[in-house]
Parts: sequence; structure tokens; C-alpha cells
Amino acid sequence: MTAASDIRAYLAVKGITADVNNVPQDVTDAVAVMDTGGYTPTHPHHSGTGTATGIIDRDTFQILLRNKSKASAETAMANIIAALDGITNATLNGQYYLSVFMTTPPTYLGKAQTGAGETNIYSLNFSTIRQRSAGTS
Amino acid sequence: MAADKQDLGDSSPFVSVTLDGEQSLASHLTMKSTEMCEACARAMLVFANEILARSARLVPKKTGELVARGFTEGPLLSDDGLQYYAVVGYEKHSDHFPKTSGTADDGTKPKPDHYAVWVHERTDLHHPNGQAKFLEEPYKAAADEYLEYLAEAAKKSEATK
Repeated sequence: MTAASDIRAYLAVKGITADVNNVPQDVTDAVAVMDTGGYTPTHPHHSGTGTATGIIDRDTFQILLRNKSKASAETAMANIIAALDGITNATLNGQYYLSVFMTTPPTYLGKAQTGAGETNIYSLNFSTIRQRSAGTS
Repeated sequence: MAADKQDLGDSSPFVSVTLDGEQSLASHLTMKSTEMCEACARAMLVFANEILARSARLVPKKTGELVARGFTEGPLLSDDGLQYYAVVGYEKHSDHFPKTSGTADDGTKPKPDHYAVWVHERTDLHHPNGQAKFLEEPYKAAADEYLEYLAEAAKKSEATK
């Protein structure tokens, strides 16, 4: 599972509905969690291939948020930041995260056209440190 | 430098170290420290140029305008004079693009003075060549390499003296 999938599941627990790696084009209000790669994983000397023991993944992800109302967008962003920024030593979607933190403040990207009309789009970027477990890509 | 081992009773052995020429040593270390800092600062700019080169391969190219606005700066000294840094980016000093550039597939036109950020952050848009996150991705891929590169630059500065 990627970080985006874990984060989407965690946001759902917090009452925030989000898509993964897809921003719906037919609605004005949407939240998407986009995988954006990450830093090189850290491998301890004793780990070999085929084992997850001790490997630390440092995935990054982006939240793309669309809302036709700037005021509602700001509320939604505040809720997302409150839910994600500063998570430490927590299990999200069955994966153990040492930390989740925001790396760039919300950035307004201007207007975007959707099938349901014009909307505003914002970007927030996060970084994670996750203990790899069997089944984690 | 001289070292004398003395014995004060049964249970308190200790080593006494005497430094001769400590002023010369301190001066030498300060000079070496400065040389190594300056070598690392120069290496920062070389590495920034390397990141820009790797980034340029990923920049979406419709007119070539964005990739042409890539820049590096440095080595620069922080206001408090304690840290060197280098800058790599696009749209130096908020360069403005013509209002006609950068129309996306969805018909959106970005604010001209945020064009590079707009292209960089719109991960939901498809580009026929290049991609979003064209600077962040090579930066992250090279982050570990960067520290090793600076350490190597510091070692080389020592070896050439």
C-alpha cells in the first residue's frame, strides 16, 4: 500500500472523504491524496532482500483540494492539517508511521474548470516516515 | 604535545596532557574550518546546478519558456552570517510570463506570476512531455547524495592543502 492509500483511510476515520491519485473532474468540491514519490528508504545493515525488518520508508504525498468557495476551502484545509500534521508513532490503515508532517503550507493554485463549473484549487504537501511491514510496497 | 601518566594512590590513575603551541594549533584549525566551509559552499552551488540539470529534463515543454527560466544562485550567506546556502528554482524574482502562456488541458489559465508553481503542483494534469513536481522529484532523489557530495568536497579541500 502507498502512503496515499493509508492517508485516505485515516482521513475517512476523521470524517474527510478523499480520492487517491485522482481528482474527480465532474464536481467542484473534492479532496485527493496524490502519491508524490519520496526520499530513499533507509536500510539497516542487517536487512537483506525479501525482508521488511528495520526498513524505514520516507514517502511523500500531496493533498489537492478543490472547492468553489474559498472560505469552505480554508475550513477544509484547516481540518486536514489538524488531522495530519504532527502525527507521531501511530498506526494508520494498519501501517506504523513514525511521523507525518506538512512540508509546504497551503498554496493557492488559482481557478480550475470542472464539469460542474469553476472552482478553486489548493495544494498542500506532506512527508512521512513509516516502518515498513510485510506487504508494504 | 606531551603526555604523562601519573598515579595518585591506588585507585585514581589519570593521564595529564600538555599542549605546546596551542595558539598555532587553534589558528590552524580555524583556518582549516574556514577553508572547508568555503569548499562546501562552492559545492552547494555545483550541486544546485546538477539538480537544475536533472530537473530540466522533467519540466513540461510546450514553448520552452518555463525551462528557460530555471536558475541557480549562490553560494549565499545567511543574514546572521552563520550559514551558507544555494538556491535552485524557476521564475527568479517572480518573473512574469506572458498572459497567453500555460493554458492547461482543462482550459484553466494560471496567474502569470505563479506559473512555475502552478505547473509544479498540478499533479492532476497530464503533460505530453515532462511532468508536475519537476523540481521536487530530483531534489528528493538526490537528498542523500547531497550530504555525501558535501562531505567529499570538504575532504578534497583538506587533501589539496
